[in-house]
Amino acid sequence: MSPPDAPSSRRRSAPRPRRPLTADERAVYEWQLGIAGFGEEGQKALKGASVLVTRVGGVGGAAATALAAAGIGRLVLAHRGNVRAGDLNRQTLMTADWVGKPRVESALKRLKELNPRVAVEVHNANVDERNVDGLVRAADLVIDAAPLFRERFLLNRAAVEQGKPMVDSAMYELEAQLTTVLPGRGPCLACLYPGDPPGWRRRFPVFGAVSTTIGALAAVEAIKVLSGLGEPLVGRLLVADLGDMSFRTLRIRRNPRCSVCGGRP
Amino acid sequence: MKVTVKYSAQARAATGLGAEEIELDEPITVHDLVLRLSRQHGPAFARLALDARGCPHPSLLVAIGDEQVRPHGSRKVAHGETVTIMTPISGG
Repeated sequence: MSPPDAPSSRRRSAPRPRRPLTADERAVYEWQLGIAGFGEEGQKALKGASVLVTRVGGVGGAAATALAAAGIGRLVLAHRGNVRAGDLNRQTLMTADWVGKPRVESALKRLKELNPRVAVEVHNANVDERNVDGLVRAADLVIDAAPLFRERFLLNRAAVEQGKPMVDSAMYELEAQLTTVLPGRGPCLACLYPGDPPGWRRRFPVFGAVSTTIGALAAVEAIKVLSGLGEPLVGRLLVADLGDMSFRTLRIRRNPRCSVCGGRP
Repeated sequence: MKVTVKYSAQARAATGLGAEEIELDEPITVHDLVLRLSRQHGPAFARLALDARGCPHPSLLVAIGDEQVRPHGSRKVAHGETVTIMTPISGG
């Protein structure tokens, strides 16, 4: 991944030749090609980029949907298990007729219906020690939407080691937290959470409207990083409370003694 | 002196509060503030805020104003400041 060149002051950096857009792509994406600082070069950057999304539940599913609609070149999805009735209040890539069948197959079907131009690679697996390096290597950027800190820390370590950007997106009830890890440019997840966080339980209260919101925000971060648009949340943590609709960003710092990125430039 | 403490995510559920005003005799460190709040709000909050040794948990998210501070740090909280206590969340 490297961001495209562009004349706008809102774009940050770095040219690389990209495949041109087809007439069909120009027609489909015409409403976003006019976004200042994005344009055709930004679209070509998305077309040439790949994103790992894990998992594709309430947050990750919304992120994958937004990226597919935006014209990302390739999605790599990882999520183990079959659709359950209890998924349907939030996992918008899952459908009622797919209960009892693999989640990733429903996600693949829905995303291809939305945008057949996007390549979608699916893994009926959650992130673990054995597969994390390969999954991260398969993409230019990671969207971490895992419900367990163990998975989040594995993704963070692999992303830092491989120098891959990672958007970390999380929610609880009506609240959400979002930050973007650019290795070497800001804190990583282990800087933020040096120890295993206490008290987190696998089952968390969630409205689909909240998880969808944070998933869409994660997709915006991914688009920004991949296309060089705007200012990603590097060194900042977005803390959103949809209960009172407050959004604030906290400044966060690298931990020089971080077990993951502390000894790295 | 008075400081405002805001609670987020599971810390809000554990304290039953979105925010409260705390009266202090003098500026205290973030470390001591977390210990004080843990005594004040009992085991449900302490389980989230403290580690096995009874010290502020290193993964507790604490901010003064819009700046993250280390929960076990020596940064003192001054009159009029707002401290936000957040527990890490992982809902996806």
